[in-house]
Amino acid sequence: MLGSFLTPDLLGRGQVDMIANVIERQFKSANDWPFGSAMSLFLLYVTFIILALKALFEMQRSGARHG
Amino acid sequence: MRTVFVLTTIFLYAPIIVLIVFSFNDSRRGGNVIWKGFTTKYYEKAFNNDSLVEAFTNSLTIAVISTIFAVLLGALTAVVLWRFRFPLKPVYEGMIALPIVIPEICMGVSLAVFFATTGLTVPAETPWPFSLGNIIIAHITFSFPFAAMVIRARLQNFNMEMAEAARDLGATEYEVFRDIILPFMMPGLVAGGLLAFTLSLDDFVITFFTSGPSTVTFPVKVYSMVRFSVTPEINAASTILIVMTLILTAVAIRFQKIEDTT
Repeated sequence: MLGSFLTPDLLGRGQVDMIANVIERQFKSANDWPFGSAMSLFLLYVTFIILALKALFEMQRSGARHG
Repeated sequence: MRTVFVLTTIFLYAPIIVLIVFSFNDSRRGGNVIWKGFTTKYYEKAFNNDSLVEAFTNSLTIAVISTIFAVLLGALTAVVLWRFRFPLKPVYEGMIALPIVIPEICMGVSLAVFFATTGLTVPAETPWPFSLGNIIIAHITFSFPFAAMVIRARLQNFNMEMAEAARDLGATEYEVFRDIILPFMMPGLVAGGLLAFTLSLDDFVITFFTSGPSTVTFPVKVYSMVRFSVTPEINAASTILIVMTLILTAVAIRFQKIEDTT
C-alpha cells in the first residue's frame, strides 16, 4: 500500500501523488534516475524500519512469555 | 458486525460487478453510467483489436515461461531450506522473503536500473519470444519466492518416517526424492505454480519498468488505453482477464482442498 502506484495514478488523474508516482515520473518522464533511485531507497528504508519494529515486538512478546 | 461485513463486500465487489455489467452496455463511452441496452459487440471489438490480442499473447507467454522457472527455483529453494542446515541460514531465508515485502515500485525501478547499467536490455529487434526476455527474468525474480513459500509450507507436513522407511528398504537418495518427496510436494507445486501464474499475469508495475515499446503486456496495454479514453472495450477485455483469474483461483483452491484431505 505504501508503494502503490496504479491506484493513485488512475483515480487521482495525475493530480494526486503518492511516493510511487513521483518515483515513476523521475524514471519515465523527468529522466532524473539518481533522484528516483534515492527516493525508492528511502521507501525501502521505511519498509525495513517497519520490518525491524515488527521483529522487535515479536522478540519482546516471546521474551515475555518465556521469562 | 453484519453491516461492516455487508459494507466491506460492497466496497470490494461493487467496482468489479459494475465493470462487468458495463462491458455489455451498448454505449460508446465506458464512463457512461446510462444503460443503453445489452450488446456483446465490445467483446468482438476487443478480440479484433490486434494490438490488444498481441499484448494478451505476450502476457500469457510470459506467465507460462516465468511460472515454469519460478516453480523449479521455488521447489529447489523450498527443499534446501527444509532439508539442510547451513551457516547463515536465517539470513538466506530473509533474503528469499525480501521480494515479497519490498514495495513493488522499488523492485521495478531496481530491475530497470539493473538491466540498463549491465547492458542486459534485450534489443528491440530480437525475434518474438526472446524479446520478452527482460520481462520474463523480472517476473521469475518476483514470483519464485511466493512459489517457494507455498511449496515449503507443504513440505513442513512431510513425515520423515516415510523417507526413512524407503531408505530402509534400499532406496537411494535420488529414488527417495523422486518416488516419495516429489509426489508429496505435488499439490504444493501446483498451488505455487498457479500463484506464480496469476501474479505474473496481472502484474503491472514491474512490467511497466522492464518492458520496451515493442513488448507490451496486457495490463500495460490496458493502462495506456485507459490513459487515452475509457471505452467499453477495456471493460470487455478486463472482464475476460477477471474470469480467467477466477477460474485459476478456483483450481488452486481445489488443489488446496486435496492437500488438506491427504
